[in-house]
Amino acid sequence: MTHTLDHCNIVFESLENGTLVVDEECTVWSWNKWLEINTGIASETIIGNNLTAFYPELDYKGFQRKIRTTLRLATPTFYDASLSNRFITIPRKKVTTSLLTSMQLQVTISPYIPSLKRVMVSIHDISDLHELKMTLQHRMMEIAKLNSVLKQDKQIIDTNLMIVKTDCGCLITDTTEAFSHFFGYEKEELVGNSLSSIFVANKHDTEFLQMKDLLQKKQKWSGEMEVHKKNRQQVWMDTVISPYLDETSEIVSYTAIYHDITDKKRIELLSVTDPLTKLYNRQKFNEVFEEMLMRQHWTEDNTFGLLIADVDYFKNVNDTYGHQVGDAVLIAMADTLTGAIRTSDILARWGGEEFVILLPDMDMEKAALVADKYRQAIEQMNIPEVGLITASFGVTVFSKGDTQEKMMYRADLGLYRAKKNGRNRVESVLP
Amino acid sequence: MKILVVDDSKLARLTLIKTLKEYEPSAEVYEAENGAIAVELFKSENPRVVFLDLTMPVMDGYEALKLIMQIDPHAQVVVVSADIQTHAQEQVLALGAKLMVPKPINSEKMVGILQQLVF
Amino acid sequence: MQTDEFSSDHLDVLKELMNIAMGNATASIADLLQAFGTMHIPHLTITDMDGLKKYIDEALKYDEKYYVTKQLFGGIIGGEFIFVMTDESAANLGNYLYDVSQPNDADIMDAVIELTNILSSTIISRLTEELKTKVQFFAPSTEIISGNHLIGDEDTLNYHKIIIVSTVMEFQSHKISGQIFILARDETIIRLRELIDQKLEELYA
Repeated sequence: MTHTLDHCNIVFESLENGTLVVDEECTVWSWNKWLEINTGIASETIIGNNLTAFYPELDYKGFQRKIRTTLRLATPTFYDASLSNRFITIPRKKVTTSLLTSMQLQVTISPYIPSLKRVMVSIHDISDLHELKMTLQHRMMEIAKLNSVLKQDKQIIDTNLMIVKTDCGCLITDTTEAFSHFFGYEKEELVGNSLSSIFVANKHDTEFLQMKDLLQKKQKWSGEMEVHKKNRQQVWMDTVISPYLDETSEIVSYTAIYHDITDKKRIELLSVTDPLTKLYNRQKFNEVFEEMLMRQHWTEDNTFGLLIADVDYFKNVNDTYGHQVGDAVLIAMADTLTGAIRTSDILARWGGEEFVILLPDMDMEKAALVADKYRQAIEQMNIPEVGLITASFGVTVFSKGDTQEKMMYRADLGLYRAKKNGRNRVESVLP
Repeated sequence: MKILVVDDSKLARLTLIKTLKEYEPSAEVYEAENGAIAVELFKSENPRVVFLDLTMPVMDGYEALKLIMQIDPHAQVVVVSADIQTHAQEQVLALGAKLMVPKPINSEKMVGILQQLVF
Repeated sequence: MQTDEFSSDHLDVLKELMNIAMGNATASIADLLQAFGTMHIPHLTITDMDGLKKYIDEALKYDEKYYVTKQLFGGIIGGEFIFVMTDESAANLGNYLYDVSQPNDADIMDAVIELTNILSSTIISRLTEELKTKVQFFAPSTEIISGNHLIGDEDTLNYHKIIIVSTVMEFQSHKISGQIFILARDETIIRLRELIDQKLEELYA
């Protein structure tokens, strides 16, 4: 036995960890070199004495219970090492910054000489590991905090911002609560459906086509779109659609962010529209006219026309039948002209009984023919109470160096001549 | 000699019967897998010795022991249980069991039981 | 491996061995901690990872806080011994073992480790003794887990077929109870079956 024990002691001495042998009463029977070095207690001092004399603060009730368990069950027992050190306190020698001033220990109590009720306590310094764990825990707490902020932000976004995510085939994968609520859908109704099939009002709209084109080129698109809700109510949305690309630049998904601008659009529309005829007002016409003048591609062969139409004897209508009937004449006139023009033409009410029309891609000859077509259409109208009415037309076309004033002057001159030459006729004035 | 072996585990019954037969090859063994069946068999067969487990489904050993002791206050019941806490032992002895033997049954234990109850 | 390779006889043997092991564990705790327990019939299932998740979902409440102690054991058979207690039970245990009405977290952790230590070593040792083999125990670790996230998603990859042995440990007078899960995977299940076959052969010989 003594021989074996000597062998054991040699092994203990060379160990890189603390090893002590105690009996059930906590008398120390072995204390290895690692312990001597790290605790400053020499083995001669402690061996044969009770551990309580050196470490009075230790919970001996728990320690002895563990020793008993070890001996009775012939099995190793352990101290919890996850929160704090529960065994003897051993100071740490680490000089550089450290969270721990004393060692965090992994303590295992194993049966040693059961007949003498002795157990071996092995101590491993796991301070570095513990520090790492503490740092990790700290970081995890920070992450948890960030996550909760993120969650709050997400909540705010979900309830306030209209966002849709789609896959690369434009099928909806997710929407915010705000989006589905605004459009009157349940989220489940939307997921899996194509974005455009759900709510795009006019798929042939140039804006929509331009959007499709840009997205196919993997670019971001932003613009205004007229769309409809589930109940078919038309709304205007300011829209930003961004594609998300993977490492190989393939489109993975799209994110569309919408902002309701219906009210803004309504006000905008009010400011450009003549309230009586619903045609563009003079201000808007001037704007469009200016844009058209700015276009660089007009030549002698490819030019645009300007018409001015004025209802004949309108003052008499007003005087005879009153303003309401006069208004009805203007509305009928607006409707007839709206029905007669091409989609690319711009029709507006200039003021009083005067209407103006811009005719892109038209020379003088064609413009005069078109004006005469309109004149005939007006002649055909039958207005309640008033009966038949007529209108006179002044026509001109754009030529290099023209301004709005110059063109308006010529068209007005044409109108003047038409009135002077007997009304219900078209007069052209060349540049 | 009629013997009743009550245990929900087939292994436990087999082990017990095997050990029993080493000493009493002629024993007439009845098996029950819960307390309820055991009580019925006890009534109909009136066995000399009952080996009774405690934790069983349907009716546990405590309940079966009570009923058996009501039917025959002189019944020889040996409780064979994995529950070896002293308070469990006290409880079954108070209910009238002759002996309480920890599982698993081996030859030495069986000899002891038979010596005490049969011879 | 197929579940049917583990016959009802195999399960019966394992269940009975667990029963005996549990009896020893209860007695050890009565002896070492002076706490008297009620024994319950252990429950055995062979399942896969999804089955285990479902099992845990049913066994544990998602809104409860649990002290979960895991201890590995290895040898011819190896696996993970898991002891799960509600925080209330754990606090009662800490209170009981450390004689304080308000045990701190470290006290509770150590108390939970101590109970698990006794449970695992008695149960596994007894089980392996019956099967005539030996295992080595590793240091247990405890963590506090909210809800039933007993097993992380990343852990699920390491197990294929799993044997779940679960039972309840109850010490009514101290309001302490816990659930025991013993998880073992493919190789262990095969070895376990071989050991049980040997035992059955001896019995029928």
